[in-house]
Amino acid sequence: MYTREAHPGEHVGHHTSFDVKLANAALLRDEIGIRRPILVDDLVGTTHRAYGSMPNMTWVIGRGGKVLYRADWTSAANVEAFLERHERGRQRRPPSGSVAPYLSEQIEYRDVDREAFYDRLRRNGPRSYDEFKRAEQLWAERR
Amino acid sequence: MDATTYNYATFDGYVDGGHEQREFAAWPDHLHAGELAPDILGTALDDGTEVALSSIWKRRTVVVEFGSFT
Repeated sequence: MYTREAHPGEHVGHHTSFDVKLANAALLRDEIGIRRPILVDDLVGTTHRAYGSMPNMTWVIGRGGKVLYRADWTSAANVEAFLERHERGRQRRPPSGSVAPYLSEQIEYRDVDREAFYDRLRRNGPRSYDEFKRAEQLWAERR
Repeated sequence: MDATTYNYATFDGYVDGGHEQREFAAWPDHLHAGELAPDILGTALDDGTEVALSSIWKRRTVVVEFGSFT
């Protein structure tokens, strides 16, 4: 689901119209080579906000519309492992099996490559990097 | 929320205005596993059709990743 730009810059700017949003989504698809279907949210972020507004979150929704998994950051490995566990459990439900669902919540860790992230900010445009550095100062002042 | 506020033009302005703090603070109490997901629409990038998420989860489990170029 294509959302607002998290770190807009001179090269890839914030959305001033739905056409700009579509063009940026196409740029992502073509530059990264994404083959999965991409849905584009409306200009006011109705879907993004309904699901919590995190910039890189992932949700798994089961048949019937029940939320099965949510994460405020996308880890493909974590999602894949969850889907395998869930499917294995689903196939062992009564009456043929003997499993019961339960809820869990964890805090996970992800690798952070600051320099690679800064390079991606510069790809968005120089001011994207400058604005992030300014935000880092604001976060430091809050602590 | 209007389009201008949602599509902030500058990231430091978004942080300085407290929007990022409010959104991250709201996340822990937002929609959880076991609850019904909101059904919403998105425009398919490839052909411009409007797609309801429910039309996908009626048929199979769906993984929805949110993100943008930047």
